[in-house]
Amino acid sequence: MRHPVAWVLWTVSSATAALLTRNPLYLILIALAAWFVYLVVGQSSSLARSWQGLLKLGALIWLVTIPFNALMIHHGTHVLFTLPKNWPLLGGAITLEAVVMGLVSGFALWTLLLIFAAFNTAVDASLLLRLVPPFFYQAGVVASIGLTFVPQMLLSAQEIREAQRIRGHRFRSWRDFLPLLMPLLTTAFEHAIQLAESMEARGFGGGLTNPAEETLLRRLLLASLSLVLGGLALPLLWEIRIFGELLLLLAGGIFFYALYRVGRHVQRSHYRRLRWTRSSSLIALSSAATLLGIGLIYSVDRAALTYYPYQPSGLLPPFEARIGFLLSLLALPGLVSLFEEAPSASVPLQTQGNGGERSA
Amino acid sequence: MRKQRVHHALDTLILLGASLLGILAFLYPFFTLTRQGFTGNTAHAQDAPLFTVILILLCLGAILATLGSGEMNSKMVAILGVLSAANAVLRAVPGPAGFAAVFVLPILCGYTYGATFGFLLGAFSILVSALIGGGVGPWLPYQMLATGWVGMTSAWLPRLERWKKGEVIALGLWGLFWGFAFGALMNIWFWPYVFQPQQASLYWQPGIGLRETLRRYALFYVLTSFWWDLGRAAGNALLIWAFGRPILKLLRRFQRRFYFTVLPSSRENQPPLKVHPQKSLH
Repeated sequence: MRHPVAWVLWTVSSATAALLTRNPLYLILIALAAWFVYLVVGQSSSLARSWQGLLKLGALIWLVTIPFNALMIHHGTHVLFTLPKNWPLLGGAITLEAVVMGLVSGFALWTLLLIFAAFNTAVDASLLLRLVPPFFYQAGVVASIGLTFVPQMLLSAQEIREAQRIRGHRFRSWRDFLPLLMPLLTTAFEHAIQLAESMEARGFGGGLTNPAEETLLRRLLLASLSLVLGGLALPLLWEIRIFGELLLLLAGGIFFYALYRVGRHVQRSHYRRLRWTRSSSLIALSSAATLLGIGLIYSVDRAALTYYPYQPSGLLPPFEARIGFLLSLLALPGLVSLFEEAPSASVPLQTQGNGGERSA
Repeated sequence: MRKQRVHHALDTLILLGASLLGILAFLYPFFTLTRQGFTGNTAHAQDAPLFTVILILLCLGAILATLGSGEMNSKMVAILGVLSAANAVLRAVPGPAGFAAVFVLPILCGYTYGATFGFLLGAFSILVSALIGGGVGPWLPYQMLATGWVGMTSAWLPRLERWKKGEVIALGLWGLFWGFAFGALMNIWFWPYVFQPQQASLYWQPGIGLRETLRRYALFYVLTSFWWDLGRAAGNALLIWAFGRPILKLLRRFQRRFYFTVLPSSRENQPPLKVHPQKSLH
């Protein structure tokens, strides 16, 4: 099992590449890499079956969009056939360019779906939650409680259902579910009360205690939101682009400073530390190289990543070996998993003298 | 008490500011593509979705970071977590025509417990449901924000406690409205990008004006997602009309158990603690 940070980096890198290019050759490379990773890493996951269904549905939608796109867009020079002009919306030339454009657009979305299928099946949700940064720890706690209580909710629902059946209640239509729903919600509230009391007994709520600091943080967050609004409004409404960008930069700075101030008051403890393995480094480095490389190409030579089947461009997509190489690096997690026995990614916390892991 | 009021006011402003920015993020492609000229291969046509995702993440980040700055107590954390789990389970139960009962609790809780709670319950329900179902993807921030708005705006409905039948009817109609509005809102994140400017009257083109944009979108919506959304809207309304009254009663009963804070007394000759009831959980 690889470290979730390495997986997050791989997903960001793959998804960014899929979002920035419409070149079908590059998209095929990304999709092949993601498919390989999904097959090698994700197939053993319990979520694999549900993602298989979703991928099939995505493929079906993609196939439906191709004729839909071809029937609605009547632009292009390679005319396949012509529908009567008096047919509303559909009338006009059906062109090869429109078919290709529908094919590529749908394929880009399906590739994105495939990337997230690989990510979701490869990474455990509880490991993912441990990555929540300190400034979002409250949100992380809520999500953890939610995840933990889902099986308990299902068990409660089962027990209540059985109890109501014993009492003679029959669940024939959706209106008969009130005797199930109400005890389920009541149980949920009772659990929440017990949990809140137990959390308070264990000293939960150790965030900020200084009211002045709390006020300052709220003001900082509000200021950053206002500056973003201003930064967007200036270039859109009055074409003052440079001031707009400056405001956005300032807003970003204030926002991250506020997050830093929220996070520095938070102490975290870990029962098990996630282990960073050599394969995690390989995945992280290759993903970072792809992300940086594609980002650099996009900022310097955007045309290298775009694809436009209509005139003045051509139907045949261009291909550059450097981009192909960068994208093929995305298959590395699959290769690493093939050639390596998977050790546990987490190790029990050892007593350490440096105080790196503190109990909160 | 004064500090609490200031914090509450600032939290409300952050929630509103982030929501305003979220709306702008949904509409952002219309502005940028109009200004840049959408010729299909323009680089900015590819920038816009990335920038929109960043904006949406910023909105969610601002709201969630506000929670971390000390406002959420253990009661709110616990109740949000447990109700998010319950709502995620409800979402996983498949209904007819793709209906999932994910909006009922955010609407009723938002109406009873306030805008902040409604927003957070909506957003966390989607997050938990995505984590258990492996539904993490670029669509997740959009869904979290839009479902959060369902809960948040439910708190803005007029208080109709005295008119019990009318209250449930109004909330059911609200569920009906959000069933359609959610679909209409979620379509916007891809609608401006779907096709090229050469295409005809079903899709958006730069420079066509607000009225024509609305007309085309209405046509697109009726032809595509209306029928899908109809199942969701009708399901919301039916569930609220059928079960809304007892659920509201339950929520109000537990409101009295949850909604109080224990404050230290300032005078020495008074009892050390006093209980301060709250109208809503912030």
